[in-house]
Amino acid sequence: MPVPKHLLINGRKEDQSFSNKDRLYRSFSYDEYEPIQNTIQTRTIKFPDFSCNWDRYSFPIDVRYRLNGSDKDGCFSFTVGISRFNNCATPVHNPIDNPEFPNYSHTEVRALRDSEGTNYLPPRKRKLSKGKKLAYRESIANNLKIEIMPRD
Amino acid sequence: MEQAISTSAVEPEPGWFTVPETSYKHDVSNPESEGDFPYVAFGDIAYERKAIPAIATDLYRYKVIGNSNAIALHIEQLFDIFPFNERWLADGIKMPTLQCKKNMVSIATQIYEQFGLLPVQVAPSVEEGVMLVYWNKSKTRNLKIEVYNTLEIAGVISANSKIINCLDIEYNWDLINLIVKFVEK
Repeated sequence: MPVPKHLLINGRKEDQSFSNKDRLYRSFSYDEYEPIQNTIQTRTIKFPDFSCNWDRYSFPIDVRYRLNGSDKDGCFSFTVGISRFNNCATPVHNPIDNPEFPNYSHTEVRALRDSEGTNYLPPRKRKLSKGKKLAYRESIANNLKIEIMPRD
Repeated sequence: MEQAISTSAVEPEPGWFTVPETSYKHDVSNPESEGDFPYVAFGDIAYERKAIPAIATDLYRYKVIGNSNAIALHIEQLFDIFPFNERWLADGIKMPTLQCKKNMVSIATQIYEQFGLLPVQVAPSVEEGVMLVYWNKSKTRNLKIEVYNTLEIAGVISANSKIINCLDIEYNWDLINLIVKFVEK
């Protein structure tokens, strides 16, 4: 699938000016859907270091344009404010300059330490307690919005 | 006269668990919930209770009668409903280990035997382990317990899409307290 032009890097630099009301888009498949609450099953949400697209530079359907993406993929979103739940994480704009799937809107949600503010750019692969991670993942599941339902 | 007694001072009795009375909320408007009446209800679960002989305190023993073999089989069958996601395999996520699954069955069986609760879902987790999901009757409140391949355990309760309680479960007491919070009204 050719990638839409607005996802091309075109020499643009990173932009870390997230607003709490901005939304982050992420794909999901039908077997990850939770029908009782019309949300995503918490067990399928990984944290930290999960990838999203920033709504400032993309649309929900753009989650399908990625390695291993599918035209059956659905899309859910949550606000940057929700991604900063309990100040234990923050989004980091991280454009991907891949020849086949460039993605200027690519963003990673990474873990923060207690002493770090949400404007800090944390590294990947930080360790957190299982309880803190589970609370964060449950918060995402409790506060997301389904943008596109996946196809079975 | 009230006396403070540690539960560790009380001899264990198979099939029964001992908790200080004050750890639970009683329905004080129901006279059957007080004194030596042999049955009490906490939330939707009925328990047989008995006073511990020769101890003049507010300690009681409780048990729920259940068939633990049928429960273990039921839980394993629930787990088989959800195959491991192929995309997770491609991303290098590990499947639940045998010991993780055994611990999960043991926890779920204990929860049934002590509280009469059965999970509505038992499935692999992207965090490399297994998740147990429980719902209350009105589907307004849910409990999730995750057992990891590292054999750590965590639990979270949500009510009306808000987190009520979340913790790392390090001791059996943590698990019991979490379930009590889930079942209490």
